Amino acid sequence: MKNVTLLAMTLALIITSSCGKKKSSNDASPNAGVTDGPQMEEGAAQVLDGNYEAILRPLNSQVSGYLPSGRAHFNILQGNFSAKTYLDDDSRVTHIQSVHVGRRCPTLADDKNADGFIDVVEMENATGKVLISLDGDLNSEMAGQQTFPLGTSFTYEREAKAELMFHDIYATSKLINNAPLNLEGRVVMIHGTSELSRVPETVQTTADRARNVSIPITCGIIKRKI
Amino acid sequence: MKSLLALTLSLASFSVMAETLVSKIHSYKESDGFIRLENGRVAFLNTTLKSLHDFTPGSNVKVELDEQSSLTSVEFMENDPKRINLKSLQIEEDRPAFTPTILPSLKAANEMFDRLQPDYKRVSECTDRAHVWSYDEFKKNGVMSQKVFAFFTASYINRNKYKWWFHVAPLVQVQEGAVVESRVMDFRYTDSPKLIKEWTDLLVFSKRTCKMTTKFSEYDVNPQTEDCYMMIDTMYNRIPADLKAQEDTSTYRTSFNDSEVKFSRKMAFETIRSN
Repeated sequence: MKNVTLLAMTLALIITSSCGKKKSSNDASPNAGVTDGPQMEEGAAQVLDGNYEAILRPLNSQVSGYLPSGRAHFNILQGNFSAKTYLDDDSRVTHIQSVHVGRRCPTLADDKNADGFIDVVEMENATGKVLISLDGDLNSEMAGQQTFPLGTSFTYEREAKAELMFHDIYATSKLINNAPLNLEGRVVMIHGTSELSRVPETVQTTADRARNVSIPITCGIIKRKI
Repeated sequence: MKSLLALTLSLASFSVMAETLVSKIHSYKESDGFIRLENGRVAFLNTTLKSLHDFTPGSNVKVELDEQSSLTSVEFMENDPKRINLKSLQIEEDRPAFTPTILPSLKAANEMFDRLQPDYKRVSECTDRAHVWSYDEFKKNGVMSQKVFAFFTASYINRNKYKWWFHVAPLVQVQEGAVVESRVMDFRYTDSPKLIKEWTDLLVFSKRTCKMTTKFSEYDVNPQTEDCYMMIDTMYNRIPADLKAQEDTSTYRTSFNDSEVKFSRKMAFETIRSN
């Protein structure tokens, strides 16, 4: 399945080559060390087959002189989950991307240290923790970690067995009391700007990620498409 | 296996980093160090390319830009591949009265925002998106909107290596309590109708207010003292050349042109919807 998934990638997909298999205390997920922010609520609607889309709009655009934008599409059909994202940006850097449990994009009102930037810590107070990491392997929480698209503009496509993916989500307690998963209204985030960008030292980061890698650059809310 | 394939794909992708654009040259000043293309992009020039070509305004060019938006090659084209038939465009020699619609509430503005055709192409120009959005609201709901143009000065572009010299979006007037506010409808880059300052703050990193002007020449001839100029005009104008023509020839657009709207829709959107 993994090979099939990999072969399904478009040529435009660019990913980094590392792929840790075990989560260690040094793993730098955008959530590391963050405990506040929205949690997945109980009683959400059952997972529904269907198409979902988020329009990704710029955040922190002052860092690079460019307005990054993109879209995220999700399809759930008969036990199969597929994700497709694209980003148009000008920074050739690894772009961490994920679906979060929260239901709103951060705004300048979330800029608690008032430096004019929304960093990853401030972001998570609005978006909550990562629900699905859109990395190299959606089938597993562990596999594929740190394997994210690299490039200025990219297209990312992955498929997974919904059962495997959701099993991992439940196993890692991202859903309170095994509440059903509902993608609608969740937040999609993409991070990362060039190391040459203007990212001040006031921008907080997590674990061992560089500030320019962890800084959020686009956000969108998932809507169910009719 | 996964690592190997990932590395292979990463290497294979290096060849797609350059960007090819087809456009007219809007203007070129040697002191600026870049060409303004009619599609809004800038192409920074190195010394060699500066001396090799005559970048005459109005020339049709196919340019290749690197990641920093620096010009790596240019091909001059005899014909305009984006020529639009403007025969039926209504033009008047006196500035006609234009009264923008005042939407009754911010809720109405949000509803309009949510109605805008959402399936813009990944590579599309703000002029085309704004023109189609304005046209659709006019045709379907009779909304007389405006266009707001932000023009970035040479000093701002060079200081920030900014890749555009202008940006445009539809603008609507909205009754908000006792006051009427102007709201920008930039569906691609914002999630709701924004106040003009909120919109320009997204574009102007210094957060300086863009200087309002009614004359394109004020931006054109005195670009160093500000970061940005702003012009608000009718929904009929599509590109900066339309604003320049108003000033240079005292001719004013007073209608949409169907061919032009059709062209913009084809260029900017995935779906060619009937209206």
